[in-house]
Amino acid sequence: MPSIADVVASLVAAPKPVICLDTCDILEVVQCLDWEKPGTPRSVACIKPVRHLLTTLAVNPDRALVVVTDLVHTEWNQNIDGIRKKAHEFLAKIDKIVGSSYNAAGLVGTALAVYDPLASKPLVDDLVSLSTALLAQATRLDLDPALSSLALDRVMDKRRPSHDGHIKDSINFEHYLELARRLRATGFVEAVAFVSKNRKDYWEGDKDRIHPDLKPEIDDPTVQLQFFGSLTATLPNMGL
Amino acid sequence: MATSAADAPLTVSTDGTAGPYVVVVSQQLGPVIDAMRTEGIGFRVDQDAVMLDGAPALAVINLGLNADVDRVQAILDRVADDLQSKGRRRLRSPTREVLIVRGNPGEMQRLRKRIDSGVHGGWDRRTDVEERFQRTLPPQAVAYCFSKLVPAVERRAAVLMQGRGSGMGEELHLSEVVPLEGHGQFDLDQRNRVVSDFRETFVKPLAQALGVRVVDRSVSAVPNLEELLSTEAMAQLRAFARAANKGDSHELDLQQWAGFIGQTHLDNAVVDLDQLEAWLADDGFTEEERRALVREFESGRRLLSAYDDERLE
Repeated sequence: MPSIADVVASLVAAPKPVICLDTCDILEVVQCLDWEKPGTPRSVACIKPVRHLLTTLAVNPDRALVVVTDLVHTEWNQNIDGIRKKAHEFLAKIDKIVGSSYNAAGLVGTALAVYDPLASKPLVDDLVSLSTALLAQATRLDLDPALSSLALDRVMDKRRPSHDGHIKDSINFEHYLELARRLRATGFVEAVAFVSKNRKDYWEGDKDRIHPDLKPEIDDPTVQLQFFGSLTATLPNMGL
Repeated sequence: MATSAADAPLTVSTDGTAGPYVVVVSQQLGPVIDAMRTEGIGFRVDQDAVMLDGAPALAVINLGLNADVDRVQAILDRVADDLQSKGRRRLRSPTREVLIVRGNPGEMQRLRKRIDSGVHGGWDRRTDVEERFQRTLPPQAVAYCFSKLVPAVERRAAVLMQGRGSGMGEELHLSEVVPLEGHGQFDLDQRNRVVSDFRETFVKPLAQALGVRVVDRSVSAVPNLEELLSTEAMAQLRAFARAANKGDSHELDLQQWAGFIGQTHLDNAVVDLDQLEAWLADDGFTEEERRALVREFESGRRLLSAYDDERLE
């Protein structure tokens, strides 16, 4: 697993835009098969940019470097089975809802086309494959104890993104800040982006821009880390 | 991306050797089937909807080799007129070309043999890209990549196709168009020119005299508000627009607008304000009203977010 110094060295040798991902960005392509709230399914708009990013990198791997921390990798592995299960349950629920309408139709003689249950389709497995492919595409940063210690400071000080006491977001954030900082120190001019759909900890309310508490840190001239609330917003800004 | 029933063309296609057919968006399927049944026209609907960007947006209705094409077209024209009269007028949004090749397994296998037989229309097979592309797809998926210096855009383009269906062999659809070199993506116009070149110089010559269908259409390149908002939020927006005193807004209107704002907040919806304003313009609100409503929307959402934050702390 490469350290931040290793990744910086490879990027200095072959510069390209950098996209740092949060765990939720990678899990989201499966997690979107769930309810936003009772009766309202989540948007599946997150799938398209992931597909687009992976295809673009398949055509030309030098277009961008996708980066995750080792913690993101661990979190993905901890959560994917539960999310897969929930996605299956979601499809089963949809089948049940449609089945109920079909029962009603049968009772009054309304003609409907044959319904092919979603639960029997490989949709969830295919989405898990896509999520796995995105994770596999990413370079996995080794965790640096000094940066994890800075993350702990944020927890102690109740500073974003650990203002509510959780350390994981700060561990990722500190590593991405440091990656950007070390790249800029070499004169690296390509874009370095951090993507997170985590509204509670990073967003300014419902706006997909960085929270004012964190803005000075990412805008610092020695860092210049761009923030995006989704890959949909990230890719056009990175020329992808 | 779905196209609306009011906008999508309804035409009998007669290319290929598998007989005439009609491609419909999902909202057109019911009215077209009903009209053809009423007129005693025989048909068969393909079991699988054709995918567009992962959305089952199109379905193919097969008419059979002996179909009366003119008669069916007359029926389709009537259905199209009816749908347009009922449909909501939509702003003209940018479109992009999609391309799908469908056929029975035997015919698609013949097509794939032709693809494997060498270079066609100046398009080179890129097996190196295919290998990387394949790794990003489900294990059973069929993947192709072709590249060419496309004269219309003066740039080398890679066109990626992937399969779908039983054994992934019954449908190939254009998955992506990506510049092979340099920075930046193709803009929509460039992308459409590449697709057009690929269709005319590669797909159509290859599909000639085979029982496969080349389905090509223009679809909206941007999702519309109806696709982005929840059904509850859209219902609130439509109710507001119906009841509003356009040109002479009333306090009651603003109360309904607040209901819409609240619903988008409950839905956690990220709303593109330009898109919202365009929707309002399309519905007949004046520029002054639109600006005021969008301002109200922004400040309402900001206030609700601040309220949520306060409650959390």
